[in-house]
Amino acid sequence: MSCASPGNCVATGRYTDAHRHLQVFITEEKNGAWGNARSVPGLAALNKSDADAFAVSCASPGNCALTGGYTDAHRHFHVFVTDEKKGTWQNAHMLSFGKLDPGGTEIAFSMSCGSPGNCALAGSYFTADGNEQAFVAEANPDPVAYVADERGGWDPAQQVFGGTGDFNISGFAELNSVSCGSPANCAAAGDYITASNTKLAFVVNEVSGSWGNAMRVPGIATLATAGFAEVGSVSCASPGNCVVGGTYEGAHGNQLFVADQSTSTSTVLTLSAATARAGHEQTEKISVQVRPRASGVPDGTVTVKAGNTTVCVITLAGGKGACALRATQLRPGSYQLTAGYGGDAVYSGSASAARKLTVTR
Amino acid sequence: MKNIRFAAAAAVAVVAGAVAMGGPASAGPLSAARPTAHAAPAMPANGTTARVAAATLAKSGAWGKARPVPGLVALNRGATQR
Repeated sequence: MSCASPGNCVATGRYTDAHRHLQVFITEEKNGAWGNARSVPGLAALNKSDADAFAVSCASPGNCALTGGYTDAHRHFHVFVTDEKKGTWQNAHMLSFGKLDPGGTEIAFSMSCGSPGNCALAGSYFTADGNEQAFVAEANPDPVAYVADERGGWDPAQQVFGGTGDFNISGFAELNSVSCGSPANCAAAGDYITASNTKLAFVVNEVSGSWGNAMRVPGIATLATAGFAEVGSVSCASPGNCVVGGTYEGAHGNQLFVADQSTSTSTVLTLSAATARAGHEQTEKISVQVRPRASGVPDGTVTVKAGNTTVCVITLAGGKGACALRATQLRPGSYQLTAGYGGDAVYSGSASAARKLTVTR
Repeated sequence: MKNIRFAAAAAVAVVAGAVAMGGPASAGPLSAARPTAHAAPAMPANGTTARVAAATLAKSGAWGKARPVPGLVALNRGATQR
């Protein structure tokens, strides 16, 4: 179910038709009144056996997207997508997997729309070969994590890759949840089986339409001492500002975890002395530090100003930096110094609190 | 590794036509179920322009460490005794 505004929601589910096939319905609330449930347009032509509803997301009233699965004539299970545009649902069509060529079972677990016509979905497909019997006989076919973007139309699904070193999701990997902070800026989260046969949680970020490499949720291996963690959901309030939650088995049994993603920083300005003598101002050392809310080390520059006048520009190294005033940079008087961090590709900018500097004669 | 076995079983069920994926289907859309209207900034209708604007503004952010839900371990003491 998804609600774009109070009294404007869409719900989906499945029903059994007269041929005892599972089909998918949509029902819509408009201005507080629920309409009749109806079949997903075009799905009956695709579905030869059973279908299922996976997720729906509404960017605004009358502008939603729905994903589900259906069984084709070869008894392969595919993902379908359909969009509601200005109150009218379009025909469902199969999500393309392009060159990925899954073995015939594709599942979408989650969908999120940043704006009408700009959505993302996440799920898994199975790598077993297309032979149904061989597939059924396979004891443990590994699911592969994928994402797909809608940018006006739906792009083919793309596999999610892991990084290097000890993090590798080339085996079993499921994407359980996706959320978009804005169009083309989303995060997805899931779980994977490690080389040592433990199950841990991972996240993958999309920035400006490009999905990066998946990464293990920081700290999850330390929490999940019993070697088990699973993602429940991820939710993004804005680009780069998301939270992931799930379950893990650790020292206190089965518990729940949360981890925050953040672009936020805080900037701290420090003066070596509150006063400096005019003509000898070079003794005043100005230090800055930019601290991220979540983790990492911000890059970029910090501009220190006295009122509206730039005093110096500091290039950060390790999130810190310093400058000294020139000998005759400021006239005698009192100044409010501030430091402004401009941000980098990861972090947003921030400004320090003002520090008073008195230049004496 | 019960969850690994569950996933495999679910996949088999799908191929067999049972479509036994009620868990993920209902659990998955938590993010989808949230009201997305508030998260959608005023973007130009033109898709290309929208992506350029997003490229200018978007920051990737950094993930902090996973931590137990505050206060839950104290409440959920029975989990240790299972």
